[in-house]
Amino acid sequence: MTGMEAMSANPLDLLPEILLLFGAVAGLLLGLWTPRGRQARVRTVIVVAALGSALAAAIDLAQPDKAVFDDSWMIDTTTGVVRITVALATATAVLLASSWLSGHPRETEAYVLMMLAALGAIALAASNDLLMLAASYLLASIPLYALAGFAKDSRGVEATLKYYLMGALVGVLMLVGIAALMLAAGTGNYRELAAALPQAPTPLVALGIIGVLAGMAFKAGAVPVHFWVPDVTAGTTPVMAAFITTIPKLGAVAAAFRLVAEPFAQVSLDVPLLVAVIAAASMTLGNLAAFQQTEVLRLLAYSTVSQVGYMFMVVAVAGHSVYTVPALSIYLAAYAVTNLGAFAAASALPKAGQIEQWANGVRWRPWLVLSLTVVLLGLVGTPPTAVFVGKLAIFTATADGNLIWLFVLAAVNTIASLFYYLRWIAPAARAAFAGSDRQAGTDSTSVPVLAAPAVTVHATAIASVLLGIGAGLWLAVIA
Amino acid sequence: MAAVVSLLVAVLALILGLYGVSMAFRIARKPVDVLPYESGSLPQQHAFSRYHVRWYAVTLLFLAFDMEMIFMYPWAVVVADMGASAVIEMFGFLAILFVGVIYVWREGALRWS
Repeated sequence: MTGMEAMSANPLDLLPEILLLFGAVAGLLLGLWTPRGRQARVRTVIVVAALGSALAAAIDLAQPDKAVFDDSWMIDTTTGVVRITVALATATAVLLASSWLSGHPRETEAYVLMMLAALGAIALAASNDLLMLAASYLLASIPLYALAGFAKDSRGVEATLKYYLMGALVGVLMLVGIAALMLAAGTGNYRELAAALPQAPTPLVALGIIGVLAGMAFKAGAVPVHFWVPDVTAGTTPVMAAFITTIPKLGAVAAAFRLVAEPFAQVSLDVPLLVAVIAAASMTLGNLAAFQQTEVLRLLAYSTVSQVGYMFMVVAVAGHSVYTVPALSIYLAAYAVTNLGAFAAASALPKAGQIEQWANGVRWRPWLVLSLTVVLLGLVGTPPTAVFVGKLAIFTATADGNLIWLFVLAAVNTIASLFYYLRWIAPAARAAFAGSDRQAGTDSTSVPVLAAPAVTVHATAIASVLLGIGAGLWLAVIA
Repeated sequence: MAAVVSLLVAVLALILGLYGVSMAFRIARKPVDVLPYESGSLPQQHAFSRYHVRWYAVTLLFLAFDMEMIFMYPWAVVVADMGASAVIEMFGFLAILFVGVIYVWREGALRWS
């Protein structure tokens, strides 16, 4: 037993996670002895650590799948994709957040919390044991509560409290679920659960599955527990909203995928149907709610709820189709790039809460509006962008997994989502292209455009198109 | 019939006896009902004693050491069998925990004046 553990307990297997942790600890220590004006060096340490982590994860992809540390931590394609995507997205989000955090008295703490939340998201995706999943849930949640209220204004405090109470409630549900599953099967290990759950009492298993999936749905922001998403997104600052709506979702969707594909695959209950209903409700409700929004951030918040619906489609057919792992891999990466771009557009004009104000603010910036259009049409799934390839892969997997009704509903939702994205694109395009002949200074309500987020919008628009065109290359790398 | 009556008498005697014992040994004739409940005795201090806000920071610091103890107890049971790797792991964990203490110290939460 000890010999087996010693064999699988090589710390180098966790090098990407160790680099993230090292970046957080080193950044905190460095920040403690750095004057407020020169905290950019902490940012450098954090970003270098995140990039190093992504590099280590990319190198690790070439290795065969393995379960390490007494079978509690799974390193396979899904984990590898989440590791790379989360690390790169965190680096981007840190640079994006610097536009607001630069000179903030707690700048270092914000970056450190972002790194720890990223670590939690990766741990969610890699968990191969229910107790590991519970610990990962806490690590992925608690830093985000602090980040949600980082501005310490009234809306931020309300957002934090709502997020925290909802997180605590769902956390308890998840712990009850984990207790039920461990009571039913006598183990928390996914491989042993897969063997033991089909013989276990059905009510216990049902309670356990609902509880554990509720936890993952909360982290992903899927429908029954999505109420925090719009309030937190609109209550916190745009740069923090970019982080909160992107990074934990990647880990949670991957964790739900692993759960449905492995331990819940053979149970007598119809788990795929439950996940399919969650997916259908998320995409439909997210889209319907987004139609009426006039605030940029609330629009994007409901857009992320509907995006989670598409991601849960692939969870619903996990294990029933050979296309699921490539579909999840491409969609997670595509979503991270595109969503960060959309929130970067909101961060570029942090004072513009309403869509009209945003459109007025970009009056002389056609390039910014062009990049925004690429990003938002990317979220719909327009051909050359990455989400198009992701959606194509997800739809293929869903059809292959015989969930035709979900396939049709998702197609209808995709077309419907075009309209609310156009509600943002159209006024911005009108202002940027038709309003350019007006005199400067006549518009007293215009708000300044920040440079760093604008650059991020352009970069993500380009990355979204490149990833869309080079999707075959990305899939070849991860396979 | 006689059995039922004797049972009733016995129960009645028990109840009255308890009331009698309570009457004989009670501290105050009228029970204290508007003060914080302290198991019958009079409270010695105000119920909502104020204390300094710095104790919250001290509580969080205590949690760090508390967690350390929770992890160190099972570790101490198996460390002799596990060997050097367990020692390295525990000291890595303690190092990270100690960074938290350094943070608290640098932020001035341990300044008493």
